[in-house]
Amino acid sequence: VSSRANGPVVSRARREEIYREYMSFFDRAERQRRWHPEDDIPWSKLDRAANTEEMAICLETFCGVELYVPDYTANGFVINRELMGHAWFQAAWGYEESKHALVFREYLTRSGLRTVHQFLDFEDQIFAKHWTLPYATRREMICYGAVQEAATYLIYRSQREKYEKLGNSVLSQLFFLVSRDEAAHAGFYRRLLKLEFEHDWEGTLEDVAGVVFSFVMPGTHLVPDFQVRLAVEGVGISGSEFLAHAVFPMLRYVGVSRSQLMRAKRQREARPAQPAADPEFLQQALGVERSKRNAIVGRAGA
Amino acid sequence: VNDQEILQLLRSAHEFAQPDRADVRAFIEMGATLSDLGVTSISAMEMAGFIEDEIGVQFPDDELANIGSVSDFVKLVRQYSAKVAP
Repeated sequence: VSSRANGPVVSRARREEIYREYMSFFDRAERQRRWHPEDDIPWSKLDRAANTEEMAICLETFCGVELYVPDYTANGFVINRELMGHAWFQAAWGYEESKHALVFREYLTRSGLRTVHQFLDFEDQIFAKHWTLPYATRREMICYGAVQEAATYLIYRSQREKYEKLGNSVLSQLFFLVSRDEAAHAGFYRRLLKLEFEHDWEGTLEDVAGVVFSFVMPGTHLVPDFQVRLAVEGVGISGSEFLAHAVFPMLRYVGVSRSQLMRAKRQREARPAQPAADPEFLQQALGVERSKRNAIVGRAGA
Repeated sequence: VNDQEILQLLRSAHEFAQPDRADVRAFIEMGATLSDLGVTSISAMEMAGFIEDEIGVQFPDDELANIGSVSDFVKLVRQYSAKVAP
Protein backbone atom coordinates (compact mmCIF):
# COMPACT_ATOMS: atom_id res chain seq x y z
CA VAL A 1 0.00 0.00 0.00
CA SER A 2 1.43 3.37 -0.92
CA SER A 3 0.53 6.94 -1.71
CA ARG A 4 1.13 8.51 -5.10
CA ALA A 5 0.74 12.24 -4.41
CA ASN A 6 1.46 13.43 -7.95
CA GLY A 7 4.85 11.88 -8.42
CA PRO A 8 6.53 8.58 -7.86
CA VAL A 9 4.78 6.18 -5.50
CA VAL A 10 5.64 6.92 -1.87
CA SER A 11 6.19 3.85 0.27
CA ARG A 12 4.80 3.45 3.77
CA ALA A 13 8.30 3.80 5.20
CA ARG A 14 8.80 7.14 3.48
CA ARG A 15 5.34 8.32 4.43
CA GLU A 16 6.25 7.62 8.03
CA GLU A 17 9.56 9.52 7.65
CA ILE A 18 7.73 12.54 6.24
CA TYR A 19 5.19 12.35 9.03
CA ARG A 20 7.98 12.23 11.66
CA GLU A 21 9.61 15.28 10.07
CA TYR A 22 6.31 17.10 10.30
CA MET A 23 5.82 16.09 13.94
CA SER A 24 9.26 17.47 14.73
CA PHE A 25 8.41 20.74 12.92
CA PHE A 26 5.03 20.93 14.63
CA ASP A 27 6.41 20.21 18.08
CA ARG A 28 8.95 22.99 17.79
CA ALA A 29 6.37 25.38 16.35
CA GLU A 30 3.91 24.72 19.18
CA ARG A 31 6.45 24.92 21.98
CA GLN A 32 8.77 27.68 20.81
CA ARG A 33 7.38 29.62 17.90
CA ARG A 34 3.71 30.42 18.52
CA TRP A 35 2.97 34.14 18.60
CA HIS A 36 -0.09 36.38 18.63
CA PRO A 37 -0.34 39.27 16.16
CA GLU A 38 -1.93 41.49 18.81
CA ASP A 39 0.05 40.52 21.89
CA ASP A 40 3.58 39.90 20.61
CA ILE A 41 4.12 43.11 18.66
CA PRO A 42 4.51 46.36 20.66
CA TRP A 43 1.84 48.25 18.72
CA SER A 44 1.64 50.99 21.38
CA LYS A 45 5.12 52.11 20.30
CA LEU A 46 4.07 52.62 16.68
CA ASP A 47 5.39 56.01 15.61
CA ARG A 48 3.66 57.58 12.63
CA ALA A 49 6.52 60.06 12.33
CA ALA A 50 8.69 57.19 11.10
CA ASN A 51 6.42 56.57 8.10
CA THR A 52 7.95 56.62 4.64
CA GLU A 53 6.52 55.64 1.27
CA GLU A 54 9.38 53.16 0.81
CA MET A 55 8.29 51.47 4.03
CA ALA A 56 4.71 51.34 2.72
CA ILE A 57 5.77 49.82 -0.60
CA CYS A 58 7.82 47.13 1.14
CA LEU A 59 5.05 46.17 3.56
CA GLU A 60 2.36 46.29 0.89
CA THR A 61 4.43 44.11 -1.45
CA PHE A 62 5.15 41.54 1.26
CA CYS A 63 1.48 41.56 2.20
CA GLY A 64 0.49 41.12 -1.45
CA VAL A 65 2.62 37.99 -1.74
CA GLU A 66 1.26 36.58 1.52
CA LEU A 67 -2.32 37.29 0.43
CA TYR A 68 -2.12 34.40 -2.01
CA VAL A 69 -2.29 31.96 0.92
CA PRO A 70 -5.64 30.58 -0.35
CA ASP A 71 -4.05 29.71 -3.71
CA TYR A 72 -0.82 28.39 -2.20
CA THR A 73 -2.64 26.06 0.13
CA ALA A 74 -5.39 24.99 -2.30
CA ASN A 75 -2.84 24.12 -4.98
CA GLY A 76 -0.47 22.56 -2.47
CA PHE A 77 -3.16 20.22 -1.17
CA VAL A 78 -3.77 18.98 -4.70
CA ILE A 79 -0.29 17.50 -4.86
CA ASN A 80 0.25 16.47 -1.25
CA ARG A 81 -3.14 15.58 0.25
CA GLU A 82 -2.42 11.86 0.29
CA LEU A 83 0.71 12.29 2.41
CA MET A 84 -0.36 13.17 5.91
CA GLY A 85 3.00 14.62 7.00
CA HIS A 86 3.22 16.89 3.98
CA ALA A 87 -0.46 17.86 3.84
CA TRP A 88 -0.50 18.70 7.54
CA PHE A 89 2.59 20.81 7.05
CA GLN A 90 0.74 22.62 4.25
CA ALA A 91 -2.09 23.39 6.67
CA ALA A 92 0.25 24.59 9.43
CA TRP A 93 2.29 26.57 6.91
CA GLY A 94 -0.87 28.25 5.61
CA TYR A 95 -1.86 29.25 9.14
CA GLU A 96 1.56 30.77 9.83
CA GLU A 97 1.74 32.60 6.50
CA SER A 98 -1.77 33.93 7.00
CA LYS A 99 -0.58 35.66 10.18
CA HIS A 100 2.17 37.35 8.19
CA ALA A 101 -0.44 38.96 5.93
CA LEU A 102 -2.39 40.05 9.02
CA VAL A 103 0.50 41.88 10.64
CA PHE A 104 1.56 43.58 7.42
CA ARG A 105 -2.00 44.77 6.87
CA GLU A 106 -2.31 45.91 10.49
CA TYR A 107 0.91 47.91 10.31
CA LEU A 108 -0.09 49.54 7.02
CA THR A 109 -3.48 50.66 8.31
CA ARG A 110 -2.65 51.42 11.97
CA SER A 111 0.31 53.56 10.92
CA GLY A 112 -1.75 55.44 8.35
CA LEU A 113 0.62 54.39 5.59
CA ARG A 114 -2.49 53.15 3.80
CA THR A 115 -6.17 53.77 4.51
CA VAL A 116 -8.49 50.78 4.79
CA HIS A 117 -9.97 51.70 1.41
CA GLN A 118 -6.54 51.91 -0.21
CA PHE A 119 -5.73 48.51 1.23
CA LEU A 120 -9.01 47.03 -0.02
CA ASP A 121 -8.25 48.39 -3.51
CA PHE A 122 -4.88 46.64 -3.32
CA GLU A 123 -6.53 43.46 -2.08
CA ASP A 124 -8.91 43.56 -5.07
CA GLN A 125 -5.94 43.77 -7.42
CA ILE A 126 -4.28 40.85 -5.69
CA PHE A 127 -7.33 38.60 -5.69
CA ALA A 128 -8.06 39.38 -9.35
CA LYS A 129 -5.15 37.08 -10.18
CA HIS A 130 -4.51 33.47 -9.25
CA TRP A 131 -1.31 31.76 -8.23
CA THR A 132 -0.83 28.36 -9.82
CA LEU A 133 1.81 25.71 -9.21
CA PRO A 134 5.05 26.70 -10.95
CA TYR A 135 6.11 23.04 -11.13
CA ALA A 136 4.10 19.88 -11.74
CA THR A 137 5.36 17.45 -9.14
CA ARG A 138 5.49 17.32 -5.36
CA ARG A 139 9.26 16.83 -5.40
CA GLU A 140 9.84 19.88 -7.59
CA MET A 141 7.61 21.88 -5.28
CA ILE A 142 9.72 20.75 -2.31
CA CYS A 143 12.81 22.10 -4.12
CA TYR A 144 10.91 25.31 -4.87
CA GLY A 145 9.81 25.62 -1.24
CA ALA A 146 13.35 25.14 0.04
CA VAL A 147 14.66 27.97 -2.15
CA GLN A 148 11.69 30.31 -1.90
CA GLU A 149 11.32 30.12 1.88
CA ALA A 150 15.04 30.76 2.31
CA ALA A 151 14.87 33.78 0.02
CA THR A 152 11.85 35.15 1.90
CA TYR A 153 13.65 34.61 5.19
CA LEU A 154 16.61 36.65 3.89
CA ILE A 155 14.34 39.49 2.77
CA TYR A 156 12.54 39.65 6.13
CA ARG A 157 15.77 39.29 8.10
CA SER A 158 17.30 42.26 6.32
CA GLN A 159 14.17 44.27 7.16
CA ARG A 160 14.50 43.29 10.80
CA GLU A 161 18.13 44.41 10.86
CA LYS A 162 17.24 47.68 9.15
CA TYR A 163 14.50 48.54 11.64
CA GLU A 164 16.62 47.50 14.60
CA LYS A 165 19.22 50.04 13.49
CA LEU A 166 16.52 52.68 13.00
CA GLY A 167 15.10 52.02 16.48
CA ASN A 168 11.67 51.02 15.12
CA SER A 169 10.81 48.39 17.74
CA VAL A 170 7.42 47.60 16.20
CA LEU A 171 8.77 46.65 12.79
CA SER A 172 11.91 44.99 14.14
CA GLN A 173 9.77 42.71 16.33
CA LEU A 174 7.29 42.12 13.50
CA PHE A 175 10.07 41.09 11.14
CA PHE A 176 11.73 38.99 13.84
CA LEU A 177 8.55 36.93 14.14
CA VAL A 178 7.84 36.50 10.45
CA SER A 179 11.48 35.81 9.51
CA ARG A 180 11.73 33.15 12.23
CA ASP A 181 8.68 31.40 10.73
CA GLU A 182 10.18 31.55 7.25
CA ALA A 183 13.46 30.07 8.51
CA ALA A 184 11.51 27.18 10.05
CA HIS A 185 9.63 26.59 6.79
CA ALA A 186 12.87 26.59 4.80
CA GLY A 187 14.35 24.08 7.24
CA PHE A 188 11.37 21.74 6.88
CA TYR A 189 11.58 21.81 3.09
CA ARG A 190 15.33 21.19 3.21
CA ARG A 191 14.78 18.13 5.39
CA LEU A 192 12.08 16.82 3.03
CA LEU A 193 14.46 17.40 0.15
CA LYS A 194 17.13 15.35 1.89
CA LEU A 195 14.64 12.49 2.25
CA GLU A 196 13.94 12.72 -1.47
CA PHE A 197 17.68 12.50 -2.19
CA GLU A 198 17.95 9.41 0.00
CA HIS A 199 15.19 7.80 -2.05
CA ASP A 200 16.20 8.88 -5.58
CA TRP A 201 19.48 10.78 -5.86
CA GLU A 202 19.57 11.28 -9.64
CA GLY A 203 15.93 12.23 -10.08
CA THR A 204 15.94 14.64 -7.16
CA LEU A 205 19.15 16.24 -8.36
CA GLU A 206 17.61 16.89 -11.76
CA ASP A 207 14.56 18.42 -10.12
CA VAL A 208 16.75 20.67 -7.98
CA ALA A 209 18.65 21.77 -11.09
CA GLY A 210 15.40 22.44 -12.95
CA VAL A 211 14.05 24.58 -10.12
CA VAL A 212 17.24 26.49 -9.31
CA PHE A 213 17.75 27.54 -12.93
CA SER A 214 14.16 28.63 -13.52
CA PHE A 215 13.31 30.03 -10.08
CA VAL A 216 11.25 33.19 -9.73
CA MET A 217 9.69 34.54 -6.55
CA PRO A 218 5.91 34.01 -6.34
CA GLY A 219 5.04 37.70 -6.46
CA THR A 220 6.89 38.36 -9.70
CA HIS A 221 3.90 37.96 -12.01
CA LEU A 222 1.16 38.61 -9.49
CA VAL A 223 1.77 41.69 -7.34
CA PRO A 224 0.90 44.88 -9.26
CA ASP A 225 3.95 46.75 -10.60
CA PHE A 226 6.28 44.18 -9.05
CA GLN A 227 9.30 45.21 -11.14
CA VAL A 228 8.80 48.85 -10.14
CA ARG A 229 8.49 47.82 -6.50
CA LEU A 230 11.75 45.86 -6.74
CA ALA A 231 13.55 49.17 -7.25
CA VAL A 232 12.68 50.04 -3.63
CA GLU A 233 15.43 48.90 -1.31
CA GLY A 234 14.39 45.91 0.78
CA VAL A 235 11.63 44.55 -1.46
CA GLY A 236 13.99 41.91 -2.83
CA ILE A 237 17.50 40.57 -2.34
CA SER A 238 20.45 40.70 -4.69
CA GLY A 239 21.36 37.77 -6.87
CA SER A 240 24.60 37.30 -4.96
CA GLU A 241 22.73 37.12 -1.63
CA PHE A 242 20.31 34.65 -3.17
CA LEU A 243 23.16 32.42 -4.30
CA ALA A 244 25.29 32.77 -1.18
CA HIS A 245 22.56 32.42 1.43
CA ALA A 246 19.72 30.47 -0.22
CA VAL A 247 21.05 28.26 -3.03
CA PHE A 248 24.53 27.29 -1.86
CA PRO A 249 23.51 26.42 1.74
CA MET A 250 20.72 24.22 0.38
CA LEU A 251 23.16 22.42 -1.93
CA ARG A 252 25.61 21.93 0.94
CA TYR A 253 22.84 20.60 3.19
CA VAL A 254 21.84 17.90 0.71
CA GLY A 255 25.46 17.18 -0.24
CA VAL A 256 25.39 18.36 -3.85
CA SER A 257 28.27 20.16 -5.55
CA ARG A 258 27.78 22.84 -8.15
CA SER A 259 29.37 20.64 -10.83
CA GLN A 260 26.88 17.87 -10.02
CA LEU A 261 24.10 20.43 -10.31
CA MET A 262 25.38 21.56 -13.73
CA ARG A 263 25.56 18.00 -15.01
CA ALA A 264 22.02 17.35 -13.79
CA LYS A 265 20.81 20.47 -15.57
CA ARG A 266 22.29 19.23 -18.85
CA GLN A 267 20.75 15.78 -18.37
CA ARG A 268 17.38 17.33 -17.68
CA GLU A 269 17.62 19.59 -20.73
CA ALA A 270 18.49 16.62 -22.93
CA ARG A 271 15.10 15.08 -22.22
CA PRO A 272 11.79 16.22 -23.73
CA ALA A 273 10.12 19.04 -21.79
CA GLN A 274 7.73 18.06 -19.01
CA PRO A 275 4.16 19.39 -19.23
CA ALA A 276 3.55 22.51 -17.16
CA ALA A 277 1.62 22.27 -13.94
CA ASP A 278 -2.12 22.36 -14.47
CA PRO A 279 -4.27 22.22 -11.34
CA GLU A 280 -7.28 20.84 -13.25
CA PHE A 281 -5.12 18.14 -14.76
CA LEU A 282 -3.63 17.40 -11.35
CA GLN A 283 -7.06 17.19 -9.75
CA GLN A 284 -8.21 14.80 -12.45
CA ALA A 285 -5.01 12.77 -12.19
CA LEU A 286 -5.44 12.39 -8.46
CA GLY A 287 -9.08 11.48 -8.90
CA VAL A 288 -8.21 8.80 -11.45
CA GLU A 289 -5.45 7.48 -9.21
CA ARG A 290 -7.83 7.24 -6.27
CA SER A 291 -10.46 5.50 -8.40
CA LYS A 292 -7.88 2.95 -9.55
CA ARG A 293 -6.77 2.27 -6.03
CA ASN A 294 -10.33 2.04 -4.77
CA ALA A 295 -11.06 -0.46 -7.53
CA ILE A 296 -8.01 -2.51 -6.54
CA VAL A 297 -8.95 -2.35 -2.87
CA GLY A 298 -12.53 -3.25 -3.81
CA ARG A 299 -11.41 -6.28 -5.81
CA ALA A 300 -9.10 -7.40 -3.03
CA GLY A 301 -11.98 -7.07 -0.57
CA ALA A 302 -14.27 -9.12 -2.82
CA VAL B 1 46.59 32.42 -18.98
CA ASN B 2 46.37 36.06 -20.04
CA ASP B 3 43.35 38.32 -19.77
CA GLN B 4 42.42 38.01 -23.45
CA GLU B 5 42.37 34.24 -23.15
CA ILE B 6 40.22 34.49 -20.06
CA LEU B 7 37.81 36.84 -21.86
CA GLN B 8 37.57 34.33 -24.69
CA LEU B 9 36.86 31.62 -22.13
CA LEU B 10 34.15 33.82 -20.62
CA ARG B 11 32.56 34.28 -24.04
CA SER B 12 32.49 30.51 -24.50
CA ALA B 13 30.99 30.13 -21.03
CA HIS B 14 28.38 32.75 -21.88
CA GLU B 15 27.53 30.91 -25.10
CA PHE B 16 27.07 27.77 -23.02
CA ALA B 17 24.93 29.42 -20.35
CA GLN B 18 22.96 31.80 -22.56
CA PRO B 19 23.08 30.41 -26.12
CA ASP B 20 20.27 32.71 -27.26
CA ARG B 21 22.05 35.91 -26.17
CA ALA B 22 24.68 36.15 -28.92
CA ASP B 23 23.78 39.85 -29.19
CA VAL B 24 25.67 40.72 -25.99
CA ARG B 25 28.66 38.40 -26.41
CA ALA B 26 30.81 41.01 -28.15
CA PHE B 27 30.33 43.27 -25.13
CA ILE B 28 32.05 40.87 -22.75
CA GLU B 29 34.95 43.16 -21.99
CA MET B 30 36.71 44.20 -18.80
CA GLY B 31 34.54 47.27 -18.18
CA ALA B 32 31.17 45.49 -18.40
CA THR B 33 29.03 44.56 -15.42
CA LEU B 34 27.05 41.32 -15.43
CA SER B 35 23.81 43.26 -15.25
CA ASP B 36 24.88 45.23 -18.37
CA LEU B 37 25.11 41.89 -20.13
CA GLY B 38 21.83 40.58 -18.71
CA VAL B 39 23.70 37.87 -16.82
CA THR B 40 21.90 36.92 -13.61
CA SER B 41 23.66 35.39 -10.62
CA ILE B 42 22.28 32.00 -11.58
CA SER B 43 23.64 32.36 -15.13
CA ALA B 44 26.98 33.46 -13.68
CA MET B 45 26.98 30.27 -11.61
CA GLU B 46 26.43 28.28 -14.79
CA MET B 47 29.22 30.16 -16.58
CA ALA B 48 31.50 29.46 -13.63
CA GLY B 49 30.61 25.76 -13.83
CA PHE B 50 31.61 25.72 -17.49
CA ILE B 51 34.96 27.39 -16.72
CA GLU B 52 35.61 25.06 -13.79
CA ASP B 53 35.18 22.08 -16.10
CA GLU B 54 37.37 23.65 -18.77
CA ILE B 55 40.34 24.51 -16.59
CA GLY B 56 39.91 21.94 -13.83
CA VAL B 57 39.42 24.21 -10.82
CA GLN B 58 36.73 24.74 -8.21
CA PHE B 59 35.85 28.32 -7.28
CA PRO B 60 34.76 28.85 -3.67
CA ASP B 61 31.01 29.52 -3.37
CA ASP B 62 31.44 32.76 -1.45
CA GLU B 63 33.75 34.26 -4.08
CA LEU B 64 31.46 33.13 -6.86
CA ALA B 65 28.45 34.74 -5.20
CA ASN B 66 30.26 38.09 -5.12
CA ILE B 67 30.97 38.34 -8.84
CA GLY B 68 29.33 41.45 -10.24
CA SER B 69 31.39 42.27 -13.31
CA VAL B 70 33.49 40.80 -16.09
CA SER B 71 36.66 42.03 -14.38
CA ASP B 72 35.61 40.21 -11.16
CA PHE B 73 35.23 37.05 -13.23
CA VAL B 74 38.61 37.54 -14.93
CA LYS B 75 40.30 38.12 -11.58
CA LEU B 76 38.76 34.95 -10.14
CA VAL B 77 39.78 32.82 -13.13
CA ARG B 78 43.30 34.32 -13.13
CA GLN B 79 43.68 33.61 -9.42
CA TYR B 80 42.50 30.01 -9.54
CA SER B 81 44.02 29.06 -12.88
CA ALA B 82 47.39 30.16 -11.49
CA LYS B 83 46.96 27.63 -8.69
CA VAL B 84 46.73 24.73 -11.14
CA ALA B 85 49.34 26.00 -13.62
CA PRO B 86 52.36 23.70 -13.97
